Amino acid sequence: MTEPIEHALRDLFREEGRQIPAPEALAESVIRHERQRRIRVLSTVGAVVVSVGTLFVLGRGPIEAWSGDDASSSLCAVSYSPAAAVNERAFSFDGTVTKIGEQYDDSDEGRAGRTPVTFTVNEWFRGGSGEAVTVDMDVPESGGWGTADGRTPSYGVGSRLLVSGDPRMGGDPLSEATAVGCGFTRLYTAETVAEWRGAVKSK
Amino acid sequence: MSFEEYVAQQGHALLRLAFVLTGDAELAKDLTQTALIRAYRNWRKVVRAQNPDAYVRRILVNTQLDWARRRSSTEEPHAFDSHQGDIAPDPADGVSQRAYTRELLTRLTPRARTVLVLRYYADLDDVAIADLMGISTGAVRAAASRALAKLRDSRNLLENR
Repeated sequence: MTEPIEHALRDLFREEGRQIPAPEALAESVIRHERQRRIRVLSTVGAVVVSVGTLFVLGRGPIEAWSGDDASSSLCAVSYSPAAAVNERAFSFDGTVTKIGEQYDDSDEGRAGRTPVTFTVNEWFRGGSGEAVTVDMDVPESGGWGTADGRTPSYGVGSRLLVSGDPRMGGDPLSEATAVGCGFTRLYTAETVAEWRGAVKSK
Repeated sequence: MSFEEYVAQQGHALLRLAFVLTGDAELAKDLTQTALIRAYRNWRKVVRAQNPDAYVRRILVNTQLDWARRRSSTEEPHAFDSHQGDIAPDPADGVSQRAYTRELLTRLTPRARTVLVLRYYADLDDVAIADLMGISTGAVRAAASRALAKLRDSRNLLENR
């Protein structure tokens, strides 16, 4: 049975709904807003890349460019070394991929082209302590995880990787943890893991 | 369906829902635009959904609840019963009665208010409301029951004065 208060609410809401006129150019304003935001994001990313690159050129030597054969491969602003991977990134670990999540949408707050990847951690070098961790990575088929002297074109569930990276927006090491490419994330080898361990000890 | 087609068909309905949820025209515009921006960023996911409109309404409702939570952390909370005298209308005045009911609604929790709007404006059943708000059907029923009881008691108090 409908109560008077329910009638009153229906009347009130219906009346209020009628008061608001149809919006003008709503879709256009949303699309315009998004285009402007993307331009701002791209401008910011561009400025950061240029700044990091410039600092590196001024302070430490030439930029090491990605030497892969993919035309879209990125310019690496810093050179990989085991010590840089385990001491200069916010987190680093040896892990085995257990799950590859759904790729972020194209405009998902700067995560475009990435996907959340969950690892069982075999060994932490820096920035964490749990048995499992999820980090954002380039999608497996991107081939973006190689090094200048040996590309690692893909990974999948079961792949064992050495991963290092940073929080996407700063803060805790694993806050929106994002793996760094340019050799800082690479396929596991006994030799490389020994180098990473050695680099931690030499801190 | 393109984003533009969707907005042409449903934009006004979304704005009306936003207005009934917020009671503020400017806030409703902001809410609608924010919800549509979030939908636009994930448009492929929206069109893949079984019910794209429900998907966008879910974004709108949850954005509103999120905003309400943030506002509530900076605003003084209203005691539901202690200030009724401040807002009580002349019972003979229909417009004031409506304003009084609206004022009482603002004193409900955001979740309770949202449940009532979805039930009595959007005509959704409790299962659909639960799905939209990401809560259980029992929680929907409990929130609606408590909110209706408060509104009923306040109106009874007014009529018996």
